[in-house]
Amino acid sequence: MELKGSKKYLSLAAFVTPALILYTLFLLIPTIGGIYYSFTDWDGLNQDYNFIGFGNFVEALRDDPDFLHSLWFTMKYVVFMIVLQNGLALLLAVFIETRRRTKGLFRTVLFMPNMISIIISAFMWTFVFSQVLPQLAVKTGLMFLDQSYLGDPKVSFFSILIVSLWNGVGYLMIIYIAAMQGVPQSMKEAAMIDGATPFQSFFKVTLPMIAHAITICLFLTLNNAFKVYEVVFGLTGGGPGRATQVITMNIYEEAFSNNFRYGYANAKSVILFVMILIFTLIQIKMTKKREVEA
Amino acid sequence: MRAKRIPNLFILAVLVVSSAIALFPIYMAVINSLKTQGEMFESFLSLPTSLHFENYSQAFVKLDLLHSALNSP
Amino acid sequence: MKRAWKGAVSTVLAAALLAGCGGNGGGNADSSNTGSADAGSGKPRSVTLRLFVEGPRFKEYFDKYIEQFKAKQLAEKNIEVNVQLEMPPTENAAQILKTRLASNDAPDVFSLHAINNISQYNKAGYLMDLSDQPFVDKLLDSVKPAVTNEEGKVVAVPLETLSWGYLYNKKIFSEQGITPPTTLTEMKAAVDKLKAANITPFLLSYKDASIPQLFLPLTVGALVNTEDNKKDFIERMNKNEGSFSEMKSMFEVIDLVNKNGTDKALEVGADDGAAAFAQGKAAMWVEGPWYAESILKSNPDMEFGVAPLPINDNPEATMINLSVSTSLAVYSGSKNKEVAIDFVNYILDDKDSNAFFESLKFNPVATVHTFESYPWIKEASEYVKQGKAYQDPRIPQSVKDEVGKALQSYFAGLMTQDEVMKALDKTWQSSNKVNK
Repeated sequence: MELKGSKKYLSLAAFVTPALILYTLFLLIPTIGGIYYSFTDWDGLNQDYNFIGFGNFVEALRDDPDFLHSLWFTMKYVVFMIVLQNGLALLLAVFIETRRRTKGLFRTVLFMPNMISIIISAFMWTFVFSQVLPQLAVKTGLMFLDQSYLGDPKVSFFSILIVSLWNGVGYLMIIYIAAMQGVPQSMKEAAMIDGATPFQSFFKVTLPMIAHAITICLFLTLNNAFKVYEVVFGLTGGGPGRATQVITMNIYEEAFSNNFRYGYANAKSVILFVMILIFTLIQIKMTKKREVEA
Repeated sequence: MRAKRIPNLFILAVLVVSSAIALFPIYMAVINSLKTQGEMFESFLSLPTSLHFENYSQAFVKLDLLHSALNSP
Repeated sequence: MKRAWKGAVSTVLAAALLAGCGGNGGGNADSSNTGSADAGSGKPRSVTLRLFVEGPRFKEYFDKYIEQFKAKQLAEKNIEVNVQLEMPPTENAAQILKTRLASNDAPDVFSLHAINNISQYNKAGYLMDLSDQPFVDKLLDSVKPAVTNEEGKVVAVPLETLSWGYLYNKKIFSEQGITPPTTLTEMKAAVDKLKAANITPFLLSYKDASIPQLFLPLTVGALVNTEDNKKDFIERMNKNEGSFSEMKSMFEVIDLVNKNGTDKALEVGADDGAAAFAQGKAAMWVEGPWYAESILKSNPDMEFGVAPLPINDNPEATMINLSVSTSLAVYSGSKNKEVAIDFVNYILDDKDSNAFFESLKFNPVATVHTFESYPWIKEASEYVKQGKAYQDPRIPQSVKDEVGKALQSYFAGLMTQDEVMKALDKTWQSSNKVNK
């Protein structure tokens, strides 16, 4: 009878093996390789290199003002994104849920930007920011529209934010709509009978019931916002200078231009990985506590 | 039930404005892709006078889009 | 039965996966040369030559030239050459090449940027010494230094050369009665004249960092070649003994251009800039003739010229920058040395090279090139003939990248002149440390 048990595991293993091989080859091995190289000073070209222990990590956190600036800039972006992307998605989800006949229409239209890949969104918005809006400003006389959306570092942060939100809110909105549809109608009616205002009903009944969706959405936003690249690349290229350079761009520049310091860039990647790990673990721990079963 | 109309209108307004923002860049891309270069620089917001589909055929040919599409997951 | 089916399916899946990986690996393995000689007798011996060229823009010209090479090799040496031409896109070509070199899987002949890459690849030992080859004697004197490494050995055959300073709109210049200025003061006068006629003097396109980057070779190149205390600037910087504060005067022309240019410079990229310049939106553009195609595409009737950029009031310092970019080198560890070297020599073949270079619209680099070049090339060549030119200075690539970003920040008001110079010093020192 033990034979039956092991045969079961054998077929399980057989099906999982191809995926496991791919995962190991293309994820585990490069990651471990990357961590290994982060302790060396390899420059990607020479065949020999030296071990320098934690030298790269110390340099990244102490002598690299561009890296630190990109860290700070990325964190600013992450905070804004977490609040705005989730806030707007939730708001739109709630608003759409109040509609009776136009629910499907609005849901589709507001999801459309998400169907466009982020890099294309960035190019479309580059066209809007650099050509359409200034022309619109001149034609309508609304001169505040005539900004240097992509060239002025003070404004470009918000341009990047706008495009990321435009592209990303739809996705979270769909998740929130689905979660809200899972809140039993009986609970909401009970709350109304007990005399709760719509606001109270929302915060005390609906919100706790969709807490699991909030956990997931916050995690998604946190994880993706740290790794932002394409939208910044498409809009400003990190410029002017390095004013809008995010961490991923800084690492890319370090490895593939400048002095091609692969070892150093790997160290910075490890730092980024550790940061994301810590933040997401904290976030999930915090929000999981608030999840409530129906 | 009267009191519900004002918040109702507000919600509708927000949704309509959001939809407009959602569609604006896509709309811009589409109508400008059907114009000639000269027409485009005159005014980005106007509708094309005639539909220049050759922009699309040129894009497919010059950028080898079919190849790229086959390569994409 | 069911279990056997499950086993079979998962085995097939696993096999398909491995077959996919194995196929790629196998392909790479069997392209090395067999080497067995059969020379002299009727049957030609077969050699596979791996050629790596950055960017697909010259594919059709290379294909044709390779066919000619193959015919010649078959006729003269009875060797049947199978050329594997790889032309990855420019953005990651350097990456791919480096990976291959570092993992002992290098192509026999590969392209690199003469000024930017030779010292790095040379230090890593990947370039074969070609000094005794016949093509070396055919090289023009203006071009030879660029393909020579620090030990004085020629390590590449040049393909693309550039003579540049800035571009100017011929029509605007003739209408306003301006000729290319020879000093900074004359340039200022020209700028005032243009402004009085409501014409924007300079086109500014700083969105791509590679454009403000051009100021560096233009100013440093002119200064090191005309001021005695700066003659060994590059050598001293390579030993951490110099500083960019010596080059402070470069900001004079940079400021002049920045203050008299088109709006929203940081939002205009290179292609937009080319289109705007072609439409006559400004009289001058600090760029090189490599944008000729884009400019003419936007306005086929546009007439532009190339002129040297004055950087101070010494007319001797107003010179054209001569640079060699794409060149072909031979991998030092190549197993097909003979054929690879033959190919490299064939690039400057007495009979066929002229047509090849002409079709590619390259400048002449050797005595065998007699074709007519474009009007702006001729104009630049005039300056070169008069001796008013200098070699593109060998500044480390990382410093060039840094100056592009630094000048963007300078233009946006985020960095001061001192901060720019400090950043350049730091980058050069860092480059020395990493590349020692």
